[in-house]
Amino acid sequence: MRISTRTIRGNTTRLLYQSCERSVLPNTSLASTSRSTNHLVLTPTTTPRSDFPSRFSTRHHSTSNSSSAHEIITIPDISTKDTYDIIIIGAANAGLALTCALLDKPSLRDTTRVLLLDGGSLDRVRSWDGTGEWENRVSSLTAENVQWLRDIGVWKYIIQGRTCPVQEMIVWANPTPNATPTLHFPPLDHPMAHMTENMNLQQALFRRIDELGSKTVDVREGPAGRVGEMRLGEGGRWVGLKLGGDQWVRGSVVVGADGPNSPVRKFSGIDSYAHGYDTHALVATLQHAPPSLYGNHTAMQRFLPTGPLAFLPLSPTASTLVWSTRPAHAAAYKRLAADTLAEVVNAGFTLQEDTLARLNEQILRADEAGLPLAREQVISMMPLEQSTGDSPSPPPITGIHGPSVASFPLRLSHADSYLGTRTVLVGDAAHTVHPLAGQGLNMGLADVRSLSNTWDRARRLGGDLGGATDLLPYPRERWPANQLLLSTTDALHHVFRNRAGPINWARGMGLEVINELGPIKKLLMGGAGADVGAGAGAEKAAKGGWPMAAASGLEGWLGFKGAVGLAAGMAGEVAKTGLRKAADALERR
Amino acid sequence: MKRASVVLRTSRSSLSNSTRSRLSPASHPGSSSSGPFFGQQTIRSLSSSSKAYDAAPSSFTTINQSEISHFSRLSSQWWSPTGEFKLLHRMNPTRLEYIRQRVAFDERDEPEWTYAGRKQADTRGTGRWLQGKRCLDVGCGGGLLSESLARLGGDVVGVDASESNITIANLHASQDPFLPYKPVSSPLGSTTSSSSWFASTTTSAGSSSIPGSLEYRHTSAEALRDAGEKFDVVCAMEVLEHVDEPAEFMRCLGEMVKPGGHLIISTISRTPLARLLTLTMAEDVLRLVSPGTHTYSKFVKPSELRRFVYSDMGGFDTWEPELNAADVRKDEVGETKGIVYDPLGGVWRLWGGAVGTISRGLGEGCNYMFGARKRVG
Ligand SMILES: Cc1cc2nc3c(=O)[nH]c(=O)nc-3n(C[C@H](O)[C@H](O)[C@H](O)COP(=O)(O)OP(=O)(O)OC[C@H]3O[C@@H](n4cnc5c(N)ncnc54)[C@H](O)[C@@H]3O)c2cc1C
Repeated sequence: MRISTRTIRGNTTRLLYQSCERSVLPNTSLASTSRSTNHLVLTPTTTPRSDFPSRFSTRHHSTSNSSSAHEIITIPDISTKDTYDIIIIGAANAGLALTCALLDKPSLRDTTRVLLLDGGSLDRVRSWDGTGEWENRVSSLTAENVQWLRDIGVWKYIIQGRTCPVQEMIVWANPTPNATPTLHFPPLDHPMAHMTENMNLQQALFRRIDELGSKTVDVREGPAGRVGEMRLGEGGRWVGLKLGGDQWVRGSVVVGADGPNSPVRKFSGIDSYAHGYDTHALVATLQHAPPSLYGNHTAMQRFLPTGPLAFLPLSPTASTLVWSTRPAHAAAYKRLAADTLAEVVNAGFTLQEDTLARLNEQILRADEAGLPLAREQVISMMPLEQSTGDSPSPPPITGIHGPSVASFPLRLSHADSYLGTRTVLVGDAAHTVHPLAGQGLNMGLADVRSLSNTWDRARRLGGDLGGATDLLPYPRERWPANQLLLSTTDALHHVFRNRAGPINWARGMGLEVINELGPIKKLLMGGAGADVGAGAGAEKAAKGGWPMAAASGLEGWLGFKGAVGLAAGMAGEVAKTGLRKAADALERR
Repeated sequence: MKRASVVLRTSRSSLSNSTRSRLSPASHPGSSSSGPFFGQQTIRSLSSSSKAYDAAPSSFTTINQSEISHFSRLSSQWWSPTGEFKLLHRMNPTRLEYIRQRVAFDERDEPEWTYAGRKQADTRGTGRWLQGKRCLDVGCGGGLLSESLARLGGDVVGVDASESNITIANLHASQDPFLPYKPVSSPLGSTTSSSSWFASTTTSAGSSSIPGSLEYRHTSAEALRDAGEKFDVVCAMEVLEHVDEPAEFMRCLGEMVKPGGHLIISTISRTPLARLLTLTMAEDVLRLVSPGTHTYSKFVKPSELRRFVYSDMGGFDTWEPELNAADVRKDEVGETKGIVYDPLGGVWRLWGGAVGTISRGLGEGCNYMFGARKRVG
């Protein structure tokens, strides 16, 4: 690699290393040394499970773009005004939370210039006041994260009427719905979690930034905040970003809080392991009568062979639905009239598995024929089986808010590394997870907390905010914890979904098996944000949430191995190899 | 500065060999050939540099492109967080933690307690806690410590006897728009900064608005002392064990500390453990540093260092007694603390423990830090 030519003082242009050549630059990252930057990350739909071991493979892509490697990029001089210490790409949950976390650190608050970028407009976040309809993007914030949001002065801005404490959690994994719940987490002395609309969280984060960041935080949004190009500066000491309108900015470090398709991850040449679940999550706002005198504070989840169906409380008369199911089913459900869908959701919670399967067949057939099933047709299948026992079940759904119905493809992905050359990944840019344990956003908040602590320390010790040595504590803390959580969630998905083996497996073994699987139990419960377990585990879990406890504890590791073994038995060869490799990956870290 | 050109003109291979060995953490800086404190039989690899040093100024005027890229390569090696100097890089935050404890948390600097101020957050050691302090980094190498001190707001002067180190340090700092870097003159030998590739790189760096300053000088501690320079914080990391006249060297450093200022040293103790780790393992077995870079007899024990400052550098007339009662010894000045590598965490840690205990002693058995504060009056 050569510097193609020199620059003369006062010149308006600067020649940069082509980013493909970064491997020989100073501060080359741990992860991206021999990789091309233009290599695209695996996507779930195009990636068969057999592609799993991407982090161990010797595939190198650096030769594929050799022709462009000598291209000379000229970028204008970047002024002091456009020079930031930290540039955060993505002003959604992770990006906004990171900004608040940084503002909470006295060592960073006044000395660190932050630029927050988002390609979309933030007007809705700014003006959201919690008066409209319920949002369909809702997350359960764990007790630990709620506490943290309190600590950093964000929770006071959460619109309290629009966040719902979860006191209790019930899980079924039985073919017959009115059987005893497989898992029941009774109320503790504090809420296990808070169901909170993502918009509520974001507006609160945004207000906190407004409060503290007027001097050091700049926000650019819309076309002016959309990142078109990224280049590593001469000598590798900064990253330049070309925004809309050909405006260049630069930062000592760039954070990819830019979601699952992270442009920052691609720029950094970081591979990620990913596989789709052949599952879509259908979300909707459910209307119902208040389930009890005490209001609506119980989260319920039923594991169906097609995927888990979750009922999550928002208010006494509203709950949110997350129904993970086959893409074809999700598509057909979406085309049903809202009142019909309401009955299908009721059916999902009350019908026996085989009856439900027949209903699904009818829905699909009718949908294919272009005549979606009507409400009466659904109801006609139900009464015979209505549960009559005392066992808990969600209140009957009386309606669904039509515009709230949407679906999202689900996939598991985990970046091989969270660090590139002067780039860092957080949140969904680093990992995506099945929503069955409600952990996606919570993992992102844990990332952000860890990264802000890492930078706080680096700042106090005069470190280089983008330097690999100074950043290292962040991935060391978060990668194994996230990997364990991802793998356990993945195992759980497969355990419940692939029940082709022994008939009535769940009834015969479900309870026993789940109770064996310490971390899975914790995952479900940690998903609801509770302090779990007893003894040493509980202490650790209380401090760091279960992933930390599990990641550091032998107990968790053995439990995970158990899950691997179990899923391997249940799910056949494909899942087996995938999970084995997940286990290997974990051990190697 | 012009002398550098001679180094630059030596054949590529010999240059890179000699420079490489000079850059190794052991042979690291300071070990120059000039001044009475650095003996004649300094590290082997330095001989080439001293020759270069003595050579007459050349007619070198322009900057050779291949030299720039050569130094870029060396700089990238030196600065690679995963390369040869990985452990050195990882030790840097720990050293700074020690400096922070000494400089930012000295009880003598605490404002008086007032009832009104009782609820004010303690912000000592946060933000730019070296702002307004003049700092010297003797044996700055590629600038690892110097850059950190500058980021903390300090007005930093990094000196090194190796011209190549200074070049690397200059090159590295000049490319970072977040450092308050001040190019003194071209590190590549040209004295006319107008044509300097370096200077041009720096003009747009926006460093003017950043508190603090950072400059590198190819010179020795003694030369600075002779010029009457004084500093609030004087650091010499892993230099003491390489000089032939440690006593002179220490006195020289001590003289440059301003009243109320700090002297911070890191070095290696003379224990069987240190011998095993630095001589047997690092040099002979693992070849992490070239054999011959360390001489066991040059290592100084923590207690010897503390006693030396007491008996030879003015004692308590010049230096403050340690505040921590347990650290006060009547014939010793300053505090020492071990730095141990934690292979599980992949980090270096400061080793605590009460003075005089076995644990504390073990912690100081190899690498350790020394700190002392000069009296104000
Ligand atoms: C159905 C469903 C239910 C879920 N339930 C839960 C739950 O109960 N609990 C939980 O913890 N998690 C849950 N999750 C996961 C959670 O929603 C995500 O983990 C979280 O929203 C990710 O936030 P993020 O900020 O990392 O990324 P995103 O929300 O994807 O934000 C990325 C941002 O980057 C911006 N961006 C992207 N590219 C560019 C560019 N080039 N230039 C500028 N800006 C750019 C985008 O505009 C966007 O604002 C659920 C997910 C789904 C699908």
